[in-house]
Amino acid sequence: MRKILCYDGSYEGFICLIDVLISNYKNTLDAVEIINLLIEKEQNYIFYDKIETSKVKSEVFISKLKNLLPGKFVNDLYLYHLCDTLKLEKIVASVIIKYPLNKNILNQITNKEVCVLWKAKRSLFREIHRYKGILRFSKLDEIYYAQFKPKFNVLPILSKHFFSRYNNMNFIIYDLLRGIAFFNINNKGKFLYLDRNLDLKIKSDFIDKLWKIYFEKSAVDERISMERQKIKLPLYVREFLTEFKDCND
Amino acid sequence: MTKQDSLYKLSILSTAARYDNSCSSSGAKRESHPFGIGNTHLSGICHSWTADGRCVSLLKVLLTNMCENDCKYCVCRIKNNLPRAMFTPREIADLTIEFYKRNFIEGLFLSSAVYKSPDYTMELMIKAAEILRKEYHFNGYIHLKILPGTSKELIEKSFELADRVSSNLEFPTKEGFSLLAPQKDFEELLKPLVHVRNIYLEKNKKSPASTQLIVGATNDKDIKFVTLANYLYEKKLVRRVYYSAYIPVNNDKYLPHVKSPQFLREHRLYQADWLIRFYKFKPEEILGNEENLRLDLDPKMSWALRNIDKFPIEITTADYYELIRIPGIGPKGAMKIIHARKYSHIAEKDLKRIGISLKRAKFFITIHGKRISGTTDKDIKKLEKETHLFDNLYKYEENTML
Repeated sequence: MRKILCYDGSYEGFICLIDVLISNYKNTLDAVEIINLLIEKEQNYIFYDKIETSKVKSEVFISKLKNLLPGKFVNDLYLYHLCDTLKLEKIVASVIIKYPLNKNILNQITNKEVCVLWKAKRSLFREIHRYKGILRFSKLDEIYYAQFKPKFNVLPILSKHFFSRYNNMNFIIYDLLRGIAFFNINNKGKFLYLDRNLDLKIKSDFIDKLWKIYFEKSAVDERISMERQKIKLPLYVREFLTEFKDCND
Repeated sequence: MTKQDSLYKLSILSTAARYDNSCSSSGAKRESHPFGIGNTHLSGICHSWTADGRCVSLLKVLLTNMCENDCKYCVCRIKNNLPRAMFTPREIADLTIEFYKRNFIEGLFLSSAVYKSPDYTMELMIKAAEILRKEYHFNGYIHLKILPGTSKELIEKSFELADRVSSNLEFPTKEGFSLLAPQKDFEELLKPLVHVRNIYLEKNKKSPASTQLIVGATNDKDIKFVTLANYLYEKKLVRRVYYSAYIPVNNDKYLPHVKSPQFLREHRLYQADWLIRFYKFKPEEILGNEENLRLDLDPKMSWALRNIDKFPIEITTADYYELIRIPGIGPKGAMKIIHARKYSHIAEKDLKRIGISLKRAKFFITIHGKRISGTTDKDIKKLEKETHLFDNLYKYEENTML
């Protein structure tokens, strides 16, 4: 029978879910469906079991895993948790279940499941690197504000990059899809959950206009290839890019 | 500066700077200043892609397009009647900071036409970098172009402030200069690169310099470009050579008449350059007995077809250097294959699964002694039509089967 398990999308919740999957659904993983409440809406489902998120339980389970599995894989669990839209929970559980029978499995990148995890990690780093470049800040009074809808939950890692780069600048980065915001105010960083429907009306200013002019003038006419541009900047990422918006200033 | 001034200057001076192909912001490691802003990323970061598909990483502008020189190929040449403008060092520094705060750019790429004298212009460029580094404590990426004829003292000052400096050699032979840029000469342009290299050699570090060559403005063959690039890398004079297909912007009897710029040739030169830098190919291996690279085939495929007796390569036993010589397999792919075969039996589907493109590689490899599917006689014959060299592949196979 199909079983729906629901968790809150936090790292601790993810670990508790893996624990439940391994303990209770070892032989029936295929029949389980996972709902991550951070990216999916709860009300779409009527019958489901909610996984309780417990920091203590997750720590106990992690230390248990550290005795069983290579440390690198255990550390990578955090990264798999960040690849939330790929729904890796069952694959992670399955690999952990298989490990005692095949101790080489984590190195076998040709194994279907390990390959999925390996590719997911690569995609995550690619997404993080991409947003290091294409996240755009706008000036709201004395605070710089950026909003985006990343494919994965990249903000926890991405925030470190901007925290170090703009160490003396007050800024907010808001993941609209997950409702998580990172605040750096007076050199103190903090994550907060905000309303997902929050829509700040951001007005473009003169600097945005200058950037748009610069962006347009930089292209060499003889080289123009919209196809190449589309490969590098797919349409879904352009929503928040200043260079593709209308400037009113 | 009024808003109108800013728009006017930026519009003119970014348009003039766009022909420089260098856009890299990699290779520098700089942490943020406790009271300042910015750091660098070792692998560089692309911030956008313009309509021509080229990456925007740095604010690439000229300090001025008012030029004393009369280089026939250049949009800024003194004889051209076009709008001229000049930024002050502070305007450049302020613009860089504003763009940087919004995460539009990774840093500044500052070049210039020669205004009054090379040293005078260079001093203004250095001043802009000084404001950024010392006043704003900006630790983002700075690339400064060294103007031909700049004094040694200013060259040294430039790379104290910048993460990268560059001097465009423009042409691979002296003839190109006498024809198209009589006020410049090859030796003069090479000097800053030698000077920077020597100082960095003392520090036991790689020279932070790069250069650019114009492709198609003179009759120079590809062999000249490839040999020069190889020389520059061997002598550790530059980290990177950029190639820029000549785009006609002026009318002059000494300039070639081109229907369309040689972008494919430029692309092949980049591929050849890649082979020198990351695959340890020698120029003579890349070109064989030819003076120009083939336009219909990439240089690695071209080499493989000329050296068909070295194939097929057995993928389960070949070492790293053998693997990267297979068309379609690069350094990353080779590492993946080596890793995968260490822990498990490797088959064709596994290669696909780990992201190895077999489109080209399949003709040059065997897996456990067998040729890969899709390299049937029919497929090879199809390719054979494109090049007679595939005849040798058949012969080689027959010989090995015997």
